[in-house]
Amino acid sequence: MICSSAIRRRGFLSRNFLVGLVLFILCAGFAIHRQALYLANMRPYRPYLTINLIPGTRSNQVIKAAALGYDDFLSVFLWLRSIQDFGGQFRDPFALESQANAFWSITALQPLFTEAYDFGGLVIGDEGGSLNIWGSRVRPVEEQEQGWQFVNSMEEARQRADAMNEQALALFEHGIESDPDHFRHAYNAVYTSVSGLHDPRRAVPYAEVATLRPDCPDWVAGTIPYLQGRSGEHRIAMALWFARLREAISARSDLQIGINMRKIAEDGVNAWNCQTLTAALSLWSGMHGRALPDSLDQLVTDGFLTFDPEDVLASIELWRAAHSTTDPPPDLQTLVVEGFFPADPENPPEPLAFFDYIRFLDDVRRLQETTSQFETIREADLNLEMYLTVQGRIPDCPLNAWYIHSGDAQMLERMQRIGPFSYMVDHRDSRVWDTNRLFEDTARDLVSLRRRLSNYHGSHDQWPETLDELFPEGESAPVERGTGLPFIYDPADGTVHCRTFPALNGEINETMMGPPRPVDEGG
Amino acid sequence: MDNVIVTQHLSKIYVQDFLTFESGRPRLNLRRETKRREALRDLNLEVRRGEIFGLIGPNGAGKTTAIKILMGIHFPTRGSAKILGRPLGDKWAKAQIGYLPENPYFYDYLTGGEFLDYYGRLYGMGRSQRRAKIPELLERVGLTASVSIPLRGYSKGMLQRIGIAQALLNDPEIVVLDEPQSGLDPIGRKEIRDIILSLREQGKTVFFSSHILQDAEMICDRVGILHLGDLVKIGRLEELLTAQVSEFEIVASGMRAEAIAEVERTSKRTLRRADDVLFIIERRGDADAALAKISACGGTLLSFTPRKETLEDIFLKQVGRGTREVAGASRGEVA
Amino acid sequence: MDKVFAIAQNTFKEAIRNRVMYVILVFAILFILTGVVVKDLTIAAHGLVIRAIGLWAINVFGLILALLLGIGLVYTELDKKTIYTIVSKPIDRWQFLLGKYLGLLLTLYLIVVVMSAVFLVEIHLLNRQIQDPHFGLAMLMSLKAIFLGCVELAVVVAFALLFSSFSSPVLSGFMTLMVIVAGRLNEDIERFAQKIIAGFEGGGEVAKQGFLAGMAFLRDPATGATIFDQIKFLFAKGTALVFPNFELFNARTLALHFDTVDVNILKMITVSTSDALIYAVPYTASVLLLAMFLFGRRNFR
Repeated sequence: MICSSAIRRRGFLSRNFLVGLVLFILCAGFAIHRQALYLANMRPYRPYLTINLIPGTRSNQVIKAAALGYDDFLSVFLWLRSIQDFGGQFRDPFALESQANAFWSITALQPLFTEAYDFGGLVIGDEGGSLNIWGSRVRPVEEQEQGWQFVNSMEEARQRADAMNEQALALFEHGIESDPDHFRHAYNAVYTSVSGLHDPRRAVPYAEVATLRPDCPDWVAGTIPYLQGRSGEHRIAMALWFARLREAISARSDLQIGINMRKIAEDGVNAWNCQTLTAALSLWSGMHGRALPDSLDQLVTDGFLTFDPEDVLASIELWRAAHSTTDPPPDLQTLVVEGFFPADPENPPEPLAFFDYIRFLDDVRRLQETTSQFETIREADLNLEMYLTVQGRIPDCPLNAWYIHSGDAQMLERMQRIGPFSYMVDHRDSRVWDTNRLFEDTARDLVSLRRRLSNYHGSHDQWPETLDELFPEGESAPVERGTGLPFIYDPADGTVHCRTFPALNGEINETMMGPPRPVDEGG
Repeated sequence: MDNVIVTQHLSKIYVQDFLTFESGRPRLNLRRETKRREALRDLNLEVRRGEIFGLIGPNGAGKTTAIKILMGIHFPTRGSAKILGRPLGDKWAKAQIGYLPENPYFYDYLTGGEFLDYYGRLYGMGRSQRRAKIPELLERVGLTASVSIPLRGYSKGMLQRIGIAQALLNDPEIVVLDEPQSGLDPIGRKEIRDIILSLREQGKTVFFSSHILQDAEMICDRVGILHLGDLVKIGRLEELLTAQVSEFEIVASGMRAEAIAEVERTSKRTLRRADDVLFIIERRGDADAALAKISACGGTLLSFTPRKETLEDIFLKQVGRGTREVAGASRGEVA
Repeated sequence: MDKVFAIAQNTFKEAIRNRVMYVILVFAILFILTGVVVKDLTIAAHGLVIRAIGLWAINVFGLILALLLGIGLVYTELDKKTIYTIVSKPIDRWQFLLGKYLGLLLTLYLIVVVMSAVFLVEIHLLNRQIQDPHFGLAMLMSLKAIFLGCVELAVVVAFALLFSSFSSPVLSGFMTLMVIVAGRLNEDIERFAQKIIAGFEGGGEVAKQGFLAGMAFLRDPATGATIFDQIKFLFAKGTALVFPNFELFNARTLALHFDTVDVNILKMITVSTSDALIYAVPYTASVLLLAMFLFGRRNFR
């Protein structure tokens, strides 16, 4: 009785209390309901719980939890510190490992910090991955906080450089994971893979990821066939280029037609030719000691290249005539089975890739005919394509590409100028060379050498002991400087010649040296 | 309806907090029952319209508790009360009350004018109403000159006066004053007294508490005496104070020793200072005899004062069994 | 309602005439202005750095002031017994509390407006050097972040009021701080709760060994979770649900790292704002109702 009256007095049953209670239940219930919804649809990425942390540390998680919602401010704070550590007044260039850690913390705190990925990748990958004293040539002194020392060997430097590039790649992967709206992290990873790690094969998936991002420009897709070709997947590269070429034709885009045809010619056909021929020549020279075949034809006659490109083209024409069509045959196997191409159908010739290329080549010719009314592509147009500048960085770009670049000849004519290929046993680089080009370069070098020799004989009245005496101190010998082929010198009579090109043993005339070329093109 | 405040069995038991601090150390008070303190027990009183009612008692008697319950600051543990026929906490009833707490402290960052304006808004007064009323009140409590001084610059007496001003803002039916005169100098006390008396002239009911009995005696119509939470006496002051003389004070000098001894036999108390003697004699016959004796023995009568019963006497009679201090200490302080 | 506004106005006056507030405001403004110097320390993302510092300062100093002013809000009135004269006036206790709440919120919003004005003028002037191509968008998103920060303040002040309505300033300050911490870790607590459950879906066998093996009768045979684990889960889940989700009011990330590729301004403004408001309004209301309930039944000393 007392209890109930007390309750009434305290207002548990009063109107105000009941209204308040109902309001409270409604408000609190609704708020908790919203919160439950929110938690159920929690943002899929606040990825610090899943990121691959640098081994041995869990500091990023701790920092993230301790930031209590001020992740942004803390990430900016660490960002400023990192920049000052790297390039500011507290510069310590040898602490790039700690820089890597710092950028991991920054991007763990704020996964959308785009600048941190860019700059972090630049610092860790480009700086740390370079083989100079600001990069991997020095390392911190062990068990000491300060100080640095040179690494023991170039091999160690390379390992350190690779490790830093791997860390940069890991950072970009974090960016790819955290920021699904931008292509740049993936494209940065492509760049680091190609120019830092020299591993185009590894760059392909990054490029593919980049093309899936909503802000990805069209030209990124163009890098994929290039990367495929660079990593030896010429068949895939060519297929992709041709697909793009067909798209360009149906869209009547002059620029894209030109670009893709150029790509097919330079990076597709030439590179593929080089690869195929290199393989055949390696096989041939492996079986014949160090001797070279007299010509590529010999490879064919000896069965290392069991085809003749012109034969295939001729076969295709025959097949077309027989089927009254302008379409190319579906594949080489059809030609073989139907007897248009002399090969064993059960045992088709290797590498098949080469034959498929021929089919594509035929496509090119036909496409060229249908699109010849379009304007010629200008060099300036190509500069819009960012990845062409990446190509410039690649050291072993096929020489043939230079032919394609120079002059205003029609695409097909340029492709026809692609000369015979040679595998030069004496050459310091074991790969296939454009024979015409190499011949012309050697002729120039020989003319230059002979001029120096006659000058020397004029002033000393005798021939030098070695060719090195012709060159002042510090100037490298012609074998180092020139085409890469060794010269044979006879001190008795002062004659010099090149074993690879017997044609140059005699008088060298203007036509042998080929058309004049800019100096920087020289091999 | 004659009774403006009626309380029935109003009781308040304080229970100590779950977490208490004893000499600076926190202590969990798990056995809460042992810390119950009964501050007010079965208070039944009525205050009639237009009278001045004084609630008197020693410190800790429960005066302030009773007022706080009436004002809605505390909730009663038991019992109920009605103000102007409405239950406790009724907003209409509250609008008819002006209240001045004990030792009032107001927002010291406000000036006197702002303070009254704020409280006027709390009473729901309109802007024009406030503009008319506030200067009038300031005039009445004599603070017109201090209207724009922040309250932190006010003296204790000024604070008490502005407190009364805020209690009169709404032209209340009932004015409740908790120890309005404590801590004031004699002039301040007189001013407050005058204000209370003028309120009665206006027909307001004044309900106030005090432990200063002389003040209460001077102005009250009725009083209630609280002691240790119990209402021990309530009634009209005239009823409580009998008209009869309760004792006589006789001061004489130059008396011989045997005469003093003779008078001392009938005297309740005798005090000697040098040549002077003070007798306190209860019965009239004894007093006459003493006067005769003084003149007979050649002494000089310095003064003769018949003393009536005072509120203090009644109070002490009721509280009786001990001094105030002892009574207060026996149950601890009641806020 | 005029009574509520009268109390709000008085609370506002009390705060405005408090010198401590000005000291903190000056510090906040100085902190915001450090962006002028700090921007020279970075080599890219200048605008980002300045905005990060400014928005951080506005948020943190807003919260500090909310705590400092909020925890003493009711206590001062009780301590100085001014509440006696207020309660005896013809107003309800909830009106008093609501007035106090609105007054403090008004004060805080005024301070935020002052800080924001300094901040916006700063970034506007600095943008003459930086030449951010997306400056307009950055400014808009900063305003949005500040606005959501104000919503956050509304929740924090409600909690400060709730605690201050029944405990001492130190204690209520501590409790409000804990609410902020728990609210900011809301998502982590939810993940923890999910981890408890996930641990028994995949790793039930492990849990059946060791100390808990003897308590098989307490175990849910379906998942292998013991009753203790279920209590743990319910506790974590309940914490995540009941505490305010401050992550909803954090638009600072958006103000720093917004998408400049596919700009849809209307969407960028509304995307989380509506969610935050739909959540904050009933949440704050329920906290205030709780505070009113506790306060309405309180004896004042």
